[in-house]
Amino acid sequence: MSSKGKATKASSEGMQLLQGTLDMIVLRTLAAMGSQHAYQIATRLEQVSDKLLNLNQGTLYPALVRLEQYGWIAGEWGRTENNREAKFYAITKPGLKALNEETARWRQMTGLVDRLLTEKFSA
Amino acid sequence: MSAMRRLVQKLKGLSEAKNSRVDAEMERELATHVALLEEELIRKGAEPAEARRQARLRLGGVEQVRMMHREARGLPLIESLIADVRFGWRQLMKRKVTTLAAVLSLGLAMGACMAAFLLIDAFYLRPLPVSDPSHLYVAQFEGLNWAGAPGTWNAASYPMFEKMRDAAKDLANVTALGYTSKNELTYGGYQQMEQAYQQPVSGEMFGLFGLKPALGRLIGPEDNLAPKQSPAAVLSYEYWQRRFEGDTQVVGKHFRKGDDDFEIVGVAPKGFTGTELGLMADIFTPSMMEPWVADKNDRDQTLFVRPKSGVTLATVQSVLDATYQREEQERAKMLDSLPENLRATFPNAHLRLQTVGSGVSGLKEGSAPSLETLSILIVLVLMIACANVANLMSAQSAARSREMAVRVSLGSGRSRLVRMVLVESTMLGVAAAALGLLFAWWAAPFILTKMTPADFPVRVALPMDWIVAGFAVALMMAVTLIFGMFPAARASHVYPAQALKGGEAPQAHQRAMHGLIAVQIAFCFIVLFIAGLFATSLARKTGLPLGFATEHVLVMETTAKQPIQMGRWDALLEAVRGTPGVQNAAMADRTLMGWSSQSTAVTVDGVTRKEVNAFLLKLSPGWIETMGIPLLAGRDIRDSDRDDTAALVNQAFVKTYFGGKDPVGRMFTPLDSKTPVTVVGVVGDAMYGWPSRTVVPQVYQPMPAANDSGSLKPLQMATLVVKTQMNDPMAMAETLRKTIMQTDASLRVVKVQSQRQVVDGKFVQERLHAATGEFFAAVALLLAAVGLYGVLHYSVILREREIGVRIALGATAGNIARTVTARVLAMVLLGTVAGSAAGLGLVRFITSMLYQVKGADPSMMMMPAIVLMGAALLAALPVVARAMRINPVVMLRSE
Repeated sequence: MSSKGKATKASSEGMQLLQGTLDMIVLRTLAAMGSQHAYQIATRLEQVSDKLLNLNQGTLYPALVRLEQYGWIAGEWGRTENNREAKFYAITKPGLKALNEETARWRQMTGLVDRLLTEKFSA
Repeated sequence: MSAMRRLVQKLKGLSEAKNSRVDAEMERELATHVALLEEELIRKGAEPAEARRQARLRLGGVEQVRMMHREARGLPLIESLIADVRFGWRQLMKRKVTTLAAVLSLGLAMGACMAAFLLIDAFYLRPLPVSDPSHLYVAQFEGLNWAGAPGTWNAASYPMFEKMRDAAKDLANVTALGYTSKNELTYGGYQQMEQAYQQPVSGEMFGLFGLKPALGRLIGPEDNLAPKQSPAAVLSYEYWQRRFEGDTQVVGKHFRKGDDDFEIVGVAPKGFTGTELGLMADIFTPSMMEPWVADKNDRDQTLFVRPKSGVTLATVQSVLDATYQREEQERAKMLDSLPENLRATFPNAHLRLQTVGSGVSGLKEGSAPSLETLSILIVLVLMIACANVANLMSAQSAARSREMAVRVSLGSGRSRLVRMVLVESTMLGVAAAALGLLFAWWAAPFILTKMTPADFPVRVALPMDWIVAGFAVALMMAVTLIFGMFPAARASHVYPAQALKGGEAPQAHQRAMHGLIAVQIAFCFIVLFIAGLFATSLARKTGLPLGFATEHVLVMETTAKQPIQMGRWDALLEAVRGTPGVQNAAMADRTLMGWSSQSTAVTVDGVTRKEVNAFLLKLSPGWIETMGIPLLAGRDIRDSDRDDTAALVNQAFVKTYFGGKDPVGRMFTPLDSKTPVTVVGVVGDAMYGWPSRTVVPQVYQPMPAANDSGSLKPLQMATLVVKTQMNDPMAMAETLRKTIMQTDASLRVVKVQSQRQVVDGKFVQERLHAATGEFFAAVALLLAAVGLYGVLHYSVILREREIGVRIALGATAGNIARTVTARVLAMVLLGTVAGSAAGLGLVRFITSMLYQVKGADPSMMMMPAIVLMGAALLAALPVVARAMRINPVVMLRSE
């Protein structure tokens, strides 16, 4: 998963997600909360981000397909508490491994960017 | 790993059934999502209707999500490409006529192009299959020829070769190759003769060419030390496969040719069939097995030279040239008939070493200008096809501008539109290339066979190798790109508002299309014009009066093991005359219009005319009658004339040496024999060895001459001419062969031809030009007709409404026909005029290849014009018929 992408810009409309980070966030959510359906994941994302993330809920679906194709998550049809049929996604073992790797890389990356941005120039 | 897995998943996603199942699943998922959102919003106090709206808004457009979902799970590029191909196929099928016309034109033109490339590749590009061909040279002689005219030739005598080889032995390797000729031989008894192409080679050849045997051994210097010493034969790989199906037991087999018993010692490597282009040798034999190895005057060897490393070409050349000058000066002393003006500085020529390239051949030299002509014709034909396709495609894209506009309005990306059109034209290109390849596969050998008479086929390997395939692919891509880009660019420049309002004026396209038609017709005219010139040239040349009969006559070259007495030859002639179906038979020492000649200067009344030579033929009584040559004065030679002192002469001889006065009873002395000869009769002029309008002076003397003691010399070889009652005299060849062998067991027929075949062999070049001309004329005419039809067809479709209205208003059939065809026919006329002007300009480039034909001849202009008009009318006919069948009621209602 590449980390290159358009620069994000904080604005009154909230923040845009860095490309590739959505997958990580979804994995993290599933790792923390266990099996979830798409609506639950979307709601969870909104809660955590305090609506700062301007996320079209539909964009979640391509990410879910992608992760399923990688074999990092597995989907299974089930019933919600109100007895609606929904597809529940759970993180797989390779998914957990990938999450750890991606998290480590992310930390490394943000650390580096942080350092570069806070560096004092002795001009 | 996971990326791989994803790709596999994606590929799985390509299957349609699975796709629709996954689509349905996604629908369910999205439905749940919307429902849950709705519920939540209602819980928070929203109105149900508003909740639904909000829910959908939050999710984003369902259609977009669906699209993103599909793209994430599938391979969008391939999927849409497949869709484009399917769509393109439907589009092409919808317009069958234009599609067919486009594929046909492109296919024909590409096929012609590929066929020409095959030939050009075979003649020019493919290097000789020898090691290091770039350091192989052929000896060429440049200077004045026997007639005192400048020329180049590459023939040397075998003794000359031996001298050169020995003189240059420290500097270079030299080898001599004889002519490849079709010979009769047998692997069994003389009852089962068959023919094969045999090439005598010196022992150095295989080594110098760096060739390794595919089987057994090759001919080496040790096979070529003394005359008749080593009857070894090496088969070409192709012949081995063809004749012996690759049997490895072939080594050790024997065959008989004439009186020689050859043993097959090996097989040459694959691909090597000699160095003469247009001739493929089946069997290689040592030069020393041939009778001419000691003859300094028999010049039929081609010398190949490979300088040793560190030796410059110039050094080798000067050594070889010095030998050449010395030997030729020596030879000149023996040449009594050598014209005096040439003698002092004989040989008046110098040896030059030329790079070999793809081979050496008289045929190649002969066909070189015609291959240039071929290229011109090819370019013209390709241009005609391109004009066709450009017309058809722009017609299509114009017709589709509305469809494109709708697509753009519905949100189709312009790049997607371009891709769609490109896919379509690629499909056209692929179809056309496939057709073209088939066509080329048929056409290339076809042109080759048309080039040459059946008896003397030019044989060239025409492999469809990777160079040819590469050429085909490149050609296809180029054509597809050129003609795909054009409508694609147009498609991407659609302005929906304008196009949907009714589009640009169709007249704008029509003008361009009509212009292209005119250009196309002009090109077609040029091709037809050139073809006509060649065809007329061939007809004029083959139509030259030969002065002797060619039909019904069989020519049989016959040899005996040892020279036999004349009585046995006479008995043979009697037996042949007695064979049912034979009208007459006689013999001579060579064939009229054959490949050999003999000439001498002649002294009359003490004056020797050295600037002109008389050509000689020795014959038996009855020969002139058998050949259909009229006896104009005096008498035929008789059996009692069998010495050197009586001769028949032709009219040209009388004119040249006797000032046209009756020569019967007068004397002349040939410089060669120095024996005075009495003219006993005068015969009509007959062509001796080559087609020309003026017949050379000829002397016919009895064969054989008596020797000094007055008795007749025994004779080893003779050419029988047999006049049969058959239209195809070759039908009697086997019967006569048996008759001859039964009459005298020591006689062998080494070559059988009809006199017609002998004569045809002299028109190879003209035939080549005429055949290629005809071929391209046919292709060009077909293309032009297809193009005309396509454009007319399109313009009728475009104007269906107008024509419907006209018919409704009472237009007559004539009116409609005029409406539909007037402008196009005007363009045909314009093209014809332009074409004749261009043709007149071009004709000077090919005058050298024409015989007795003037380019400016109005009759030469009329023929293509009439043919083109005919083709145009033929192409217009179905279109006019269609236009007239338009039902105004149906037409106007459909709008």
